[in-house]
Amino acid sequence: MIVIVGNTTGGTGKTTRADQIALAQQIAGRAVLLIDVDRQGSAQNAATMRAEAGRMTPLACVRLADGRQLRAQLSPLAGKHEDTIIDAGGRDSEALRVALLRSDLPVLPIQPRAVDVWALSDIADLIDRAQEAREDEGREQLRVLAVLYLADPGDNRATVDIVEALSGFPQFTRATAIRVAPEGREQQPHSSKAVEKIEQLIDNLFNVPEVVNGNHTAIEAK
Amino acid sequence: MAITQPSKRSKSDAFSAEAPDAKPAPKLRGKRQPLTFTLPPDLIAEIDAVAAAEDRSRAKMIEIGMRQFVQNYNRRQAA
Repeated sequence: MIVIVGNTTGGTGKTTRADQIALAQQIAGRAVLLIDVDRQGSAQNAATMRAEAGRMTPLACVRLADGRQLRAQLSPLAGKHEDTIIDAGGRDSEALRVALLRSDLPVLPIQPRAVDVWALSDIADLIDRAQEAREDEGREQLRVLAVLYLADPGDNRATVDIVEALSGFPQFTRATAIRVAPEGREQQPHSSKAVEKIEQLIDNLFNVPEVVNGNHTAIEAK
Repeated sequence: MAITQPSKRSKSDAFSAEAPDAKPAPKLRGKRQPLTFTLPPDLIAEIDAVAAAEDRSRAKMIEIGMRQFVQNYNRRQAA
């Protein structure tokens, strides 16, 4: 399974989500590789610091410089792992496009803020074009999971706005919401709420069937 | 006579090539490029002696040496 975590805008929690998905799958006993193709290299840095700190089993992580390298290396790398998670960064790049063409599950982290609403049409356009190219090659249609991150429950205008905006984009076939910023399982003091949220994200990513026709009733900002 | 179709870029290739940061893949083969560099006279004399013994040009001997250097370097890195 190749999962890409990306967007065309920065600061939406992509690296944290990619790291959490990779760790959760590794803890579940899967052979996991995290590919960092973001210019910032934060996922690679986090994996290195985590290994140096002696945290549980070190996470296998490689950093690739650009889309060209990702195109060349993805098949041989992904072929040796059950799950490959790609942190594709926060801009329209060759790496993001290559990852959209080759992945099984794209994850789109967004936050309830105006810039993320404005960027939805950009990423939706890229998803449309990726779908078209995939169809041309006989690949499966993308099942995009939008993850609404730091979503406040209740009467919160920004959250309501982005949920409404999401419903206008049929490209995002599934959606879920995370109210808090979930820290890792290794966070001290241990947060059972954070672990529950990560498990919810993983469950939604791998186990929940898609919502079609832009019907995002699955969004629950619990 | 066989009729060959001009190569058509696939939608996938076009999609990724149109990314703002996409760069064309560098061509690994093509016209040889002239280089200018200096070497100490004693090394030039030794290269010329080997070139004469092998009935090759000075430039060819330098090229062979460079190829061997790169191959050995890559082999050491891979080990």
